[in-house]
Amino acid sequence: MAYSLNRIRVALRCMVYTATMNTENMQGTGFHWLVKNTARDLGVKLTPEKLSEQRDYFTTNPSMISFLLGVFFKELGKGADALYKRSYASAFAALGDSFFWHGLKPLAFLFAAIGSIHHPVLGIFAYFFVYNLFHLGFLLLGFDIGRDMGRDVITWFQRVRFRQWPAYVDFGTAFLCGFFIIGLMKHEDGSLPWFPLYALASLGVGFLCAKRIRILHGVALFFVLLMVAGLARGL
Amino acid sequence: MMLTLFLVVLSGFISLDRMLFQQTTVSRPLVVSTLVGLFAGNLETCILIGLVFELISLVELPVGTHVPVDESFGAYSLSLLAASSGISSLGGFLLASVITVGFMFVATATHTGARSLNRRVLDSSKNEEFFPSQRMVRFGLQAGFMRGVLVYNALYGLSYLLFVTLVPYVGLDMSASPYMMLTVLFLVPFLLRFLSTGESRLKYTLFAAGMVGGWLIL
Repeated sequence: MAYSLNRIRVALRCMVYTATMNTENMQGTGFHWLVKNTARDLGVKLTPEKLSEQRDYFTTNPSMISFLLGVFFKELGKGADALYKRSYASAFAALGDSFFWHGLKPLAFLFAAIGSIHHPVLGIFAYFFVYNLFHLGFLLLGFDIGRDMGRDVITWFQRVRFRQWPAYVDFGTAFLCGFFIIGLMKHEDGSLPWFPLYALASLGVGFLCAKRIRILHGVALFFVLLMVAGLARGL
Repeated sequence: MMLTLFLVVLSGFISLDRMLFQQTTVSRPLVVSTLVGLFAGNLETCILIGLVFELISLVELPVGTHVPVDESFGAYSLSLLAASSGISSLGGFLLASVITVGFMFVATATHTGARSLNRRVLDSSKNEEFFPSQRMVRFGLQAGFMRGVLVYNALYGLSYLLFVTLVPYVGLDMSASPYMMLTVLFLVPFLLRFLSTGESRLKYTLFAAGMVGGWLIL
């Protein structure tokens, strides 16, 4: 019972440790807080020097932090914690950004968007469920896996082929993009004549702009086009 | 009264979640807009607003020290405008969007300011015998929450005043809903382009297959 409580407490701390984010030591203060409290829960004694080191510059993907924390405590006794903390921080940043931000969020969004067309509450739950299945799952399980495997935790990611996950998720997202577009078009209320034609034109302009300009500039440009279209329609 | 209290607390949690790198998804623009629409009204318009800001948010990522524009505020403020003022016309939608996007940059600046504040707290704590990370985390959480309560709602208030002042002078009275859908459709290729690394031909083929599947099933 105490062990499962420890896991949840670690996960909850992992969710808020970035509250002290700043441009000097990035997530360093938060990591110091994580290490200090986790050491206390585990009954591990840290020297003041070791604890003080943890507030140095540090950054990683927040969804992967519990793995890193587990590796840190595993390697602490062997004197290799600093090395593996540094190595895994950047590795997890790349892996985590690629999967969670580049892959999973768009997929979760599309489930939510398709759900929202039919029922808004379903949309919210879809977003929460799809994203947090992995995000909270990693936060809850990562510490144990990191602590069991230590420096070899990368083999766990290789075993589950984690590097390929973003690609597989992207394929699903691409398919659902098409699905979502049709769902949205079929939901139109008929107030704009020739709506399918305008829809295809908007998609076409979007494809042209997506390669060339930043999305915010694209939105500004499209608003101008909408204004012109609206004025033309009003004449 | 209850609605106001709910919105104030919601704005605090949205800001906090955003500053914690959106760990609970409550600050995702689509979630924000849907919640505002469910409780304040004009749900369909709010969802469309959420879709627009969500697509922007998915492409503009917080990498390294970069603070992307605060789309969560954008979704919150524009959805509240839609719920309170009833953005039904194209002119109203465009005006409200321009106002909201303008204030979005102000909200983003306060996020950057919060990071600077965290840095000042860090600098002031360096000479303390025991590095007070617990106190600093607590401060960060409180600052994140209060940023939402104060900044989001103050900027929304200004947006509302500007909108109701200017909207009588704006034409384009046709229904906004189809044009909002067109905006979403315009933004989807940005998301596809964002995904298109490596196997581009396969992804676009899957996209087309999704459209065919949607046409047949939906």
